[in-house]
Amino acid sequence: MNGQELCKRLLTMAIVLLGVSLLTYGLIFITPGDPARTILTQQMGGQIPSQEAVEQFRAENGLDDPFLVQYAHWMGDVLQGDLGHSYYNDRSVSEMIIQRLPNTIALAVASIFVALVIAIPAGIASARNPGSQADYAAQIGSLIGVSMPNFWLGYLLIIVCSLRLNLFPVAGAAGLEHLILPSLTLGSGMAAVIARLVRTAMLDVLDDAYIQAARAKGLRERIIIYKHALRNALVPVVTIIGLQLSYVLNGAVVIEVVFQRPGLGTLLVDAIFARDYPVVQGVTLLIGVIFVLMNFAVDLTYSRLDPRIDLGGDPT
Amino acid sequence: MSESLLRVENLHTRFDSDQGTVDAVNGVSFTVDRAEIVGILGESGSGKSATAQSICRLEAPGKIVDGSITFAGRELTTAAEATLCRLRGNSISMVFQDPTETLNPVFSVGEQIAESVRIHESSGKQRLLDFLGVSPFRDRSAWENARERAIELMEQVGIPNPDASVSSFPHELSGGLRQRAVLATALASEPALLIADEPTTALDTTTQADILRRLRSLRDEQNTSILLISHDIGVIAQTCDRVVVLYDGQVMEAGPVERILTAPKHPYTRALLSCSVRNSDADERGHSAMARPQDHTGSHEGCPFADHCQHVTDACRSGPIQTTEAASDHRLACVEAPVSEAQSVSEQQERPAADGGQQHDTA
Amino acid sequence: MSDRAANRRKRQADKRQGWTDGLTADRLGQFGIGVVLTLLVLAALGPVVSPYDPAEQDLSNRLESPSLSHPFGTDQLGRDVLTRLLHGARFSLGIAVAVTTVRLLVGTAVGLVAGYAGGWVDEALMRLVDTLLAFPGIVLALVIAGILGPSLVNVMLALAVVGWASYARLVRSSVLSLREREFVTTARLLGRSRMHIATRHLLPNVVAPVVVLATLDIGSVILGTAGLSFLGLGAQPPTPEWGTMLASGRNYLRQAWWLVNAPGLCIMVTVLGFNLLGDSLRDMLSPTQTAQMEEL
Repeated sequence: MNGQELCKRLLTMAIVLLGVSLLTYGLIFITPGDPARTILTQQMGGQIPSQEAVEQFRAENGLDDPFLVQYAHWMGDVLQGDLGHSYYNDRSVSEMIIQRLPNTIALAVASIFVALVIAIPAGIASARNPGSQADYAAQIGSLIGVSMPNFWLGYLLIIVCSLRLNLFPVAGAAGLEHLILPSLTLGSGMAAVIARLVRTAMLDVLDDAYIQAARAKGLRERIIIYKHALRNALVPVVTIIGLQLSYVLNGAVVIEVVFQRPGLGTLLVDAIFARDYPVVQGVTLLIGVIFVLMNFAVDLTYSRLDPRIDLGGDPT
Repeated sequence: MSESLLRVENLHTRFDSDQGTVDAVNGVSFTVDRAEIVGILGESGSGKSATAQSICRLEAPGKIVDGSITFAGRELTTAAEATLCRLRGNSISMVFQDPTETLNPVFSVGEQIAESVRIHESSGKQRLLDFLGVSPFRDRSAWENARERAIELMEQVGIPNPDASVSSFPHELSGGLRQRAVLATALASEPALLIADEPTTALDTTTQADILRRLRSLRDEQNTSILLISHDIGVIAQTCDRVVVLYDGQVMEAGPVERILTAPKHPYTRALLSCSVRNSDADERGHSAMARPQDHTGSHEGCPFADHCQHVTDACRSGPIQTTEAASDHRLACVEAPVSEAQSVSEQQERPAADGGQQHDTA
Repeated sequence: MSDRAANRRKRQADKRQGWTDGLTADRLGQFGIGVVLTLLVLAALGPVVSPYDPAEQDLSNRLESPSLSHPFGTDQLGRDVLTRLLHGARFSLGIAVAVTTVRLLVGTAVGLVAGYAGGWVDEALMRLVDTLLAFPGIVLALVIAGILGPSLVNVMLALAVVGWASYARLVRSSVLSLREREFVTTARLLGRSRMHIATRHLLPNVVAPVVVLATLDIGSVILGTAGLSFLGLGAQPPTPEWGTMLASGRNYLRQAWWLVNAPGLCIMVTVLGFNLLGDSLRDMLSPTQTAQMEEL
């Protein structure tokens, strides 16, 4: 890895993060009409607020300042870990986020786990026996998985597993049993994409000479597949998992609504409908930052997986 | 001849493809005795590599359709996969042509050599944990020992500064060092038979000479039998005791190196030798005007070299060519075999090449 | 052993076929085209052939299970689900095509400008692209649509805004590689204007990959629209939009399973059709263009 490349990467990432924060903050300004009036109307349950009330609200929340000043204020607070307060119950946004974050992280991690557990064996089985029944089944399964709206899959699982078979609770986030259906829903969608990629990558790798050399060494097939071949096939797979993070975060929002899980997604959706802008900004910023940092982390993993890749260099 | 370590008899290996069937190895027989270096000489496509892979039973996607391979008294063509796994890397090791391709790019060379050391030592569960690289469950002391041994092996094959190189990745080493690392991997289990498939083709001349010297000393010091596969007559001449000349999956001529290379009896061997003298450059030789094995799909009768042979007669095409013994250890498959050098010149003028009715067997 | 031999043979045969993924690409592509054409016909004829009025309520026939007169049953207000699905096809296809077209036009324009102009223009545009791509698309669209207020038009706008960036990236990288090609240099030496070069020489060469990307993108736009409508941001209840229908069906999971499954199935088949079509279009492209596509 070379330091100069790393610095360049970090600089680009900083610019992107700046853009992310600007965009996040700027979003509330696209609201049609006067935000202060809209918010107050909401807060007062539909009553038209008085002109003084609107002006007082503006002053309190700094909405009279020019955009960049407001942004600078907000950013200054954000950098100190203060994301502001909810318009409704005056709770701190960071507190609300911290309360909900573990549920979302649990869902994301469990989904990625489910996806890998399904996708890697399926992709390998496909690649080892191309054209077999199992291969066709895996491919058709993955085509369907890619095309299926995940919220529908969620309801299908609820209908079958919860309502008919009574295996799992329908909603909530109390324990592990509440995690199973949501992570299956989100994970199988991801598995569809990853399995397809594992198959292609393994097909390439299995014909490489070092696989034949490993056989000549007397290694057993299982070790050849899972150590020598999979390790080489992992580089493109990790790339796609990086891209799939977007799928996880997008999906988590919808899946949390389907299973009524109190997480970042439900927090965001509720805040959007309540026009609770500090919460919307806080969650959006967090999701953007997580996504950027995770992609950076994925980039760093490449060089560990494949020693030929220098950070920022090309993979040959 | 029961003392032969490896005995290949009438081996047929066939490759099926969409374009048809290719008999890559078509009735090859030879033996390798203990502490003997046997060369297989042939151009690309002559079935040398398919022969080597068949011996290791790594012929897939090809298929052995007939014949037998006996190694240390054990029949390999019918052996179970588990038995073969034990033999490979343990009693039979293999070195492939291109060291860039045969080393796994994502593991350090030390790890790959150590892996070979460990393969036939540990057992069952522990083995799987070890190989999956789940570090907390690794048998550390055993790996430490294997690493020590890896360094020893690297030293033995002439890798300078093995303590440092042990943790290098393949792409960080030069081609010559890589091939030495491959050799170290192959030698890890002190095999009885080493099969080297074009081990020096991808290397420069100095490195090539060094690797070949090491192969000879391996035979001298550890009594290892070596099957050396090459298209390069120089390599064979420098290293081998006996040589088997292959053309189109069939043995043309076989015998002691000094006899075959100085007094070849088969017209193909002679053509090969004269080419080698004319063009010293390996690439050029590959493109030489001399007949190259055809991509035969489907079976054919008679001598495969007939279409390009100066001495061709009707008998060459009429049926299978019998193998005759020119001397006790010198076999050749040619009807016109005892043609002398002098005769061949005059015959060339008398008899125009092929008879017009015969179609050239190009696939 | 012989098993493995056979498998490796097959694997190699399979690799030779290239990107077909083992199944015959033709057949799947044809299936995709079939699905898409059927949907287009249904969307065009749906209102004519459907047996009922999509808004016609019949409270005496609420939540009726599928039968001959109502093949997909009725909903909580006694409306015929099949009729509503047929009307919904118009929304789904119309929105998907409109959003994808906007994405394509904006993205191509930005990519052309960035790739051809270079310098600070390129730098600024690409940082904007990076920023947009730094958000998970649906989350950003959700926030934008939410702030603009729940309506189908706002959902379309939001999806268009978040989605053009990948087109821009694709076009820019194509332009960068084309810029050094001889026919462009020749045109420049002939004194052609930048506009002329961009539209007459560069644009035609990026059309094929962009169209493939768009075909593959339609599926995700349909999924995105359905998702946002499901969350309550898109079409509002009486509108027979598939995502909205699915959302209102979720209160009747126990009594009327068809209310979520019928629109779910419609969405899936539509997306599948476009995905298969996109895959086979991509296979028809040359390998170099395929390589560029895979970076997306």
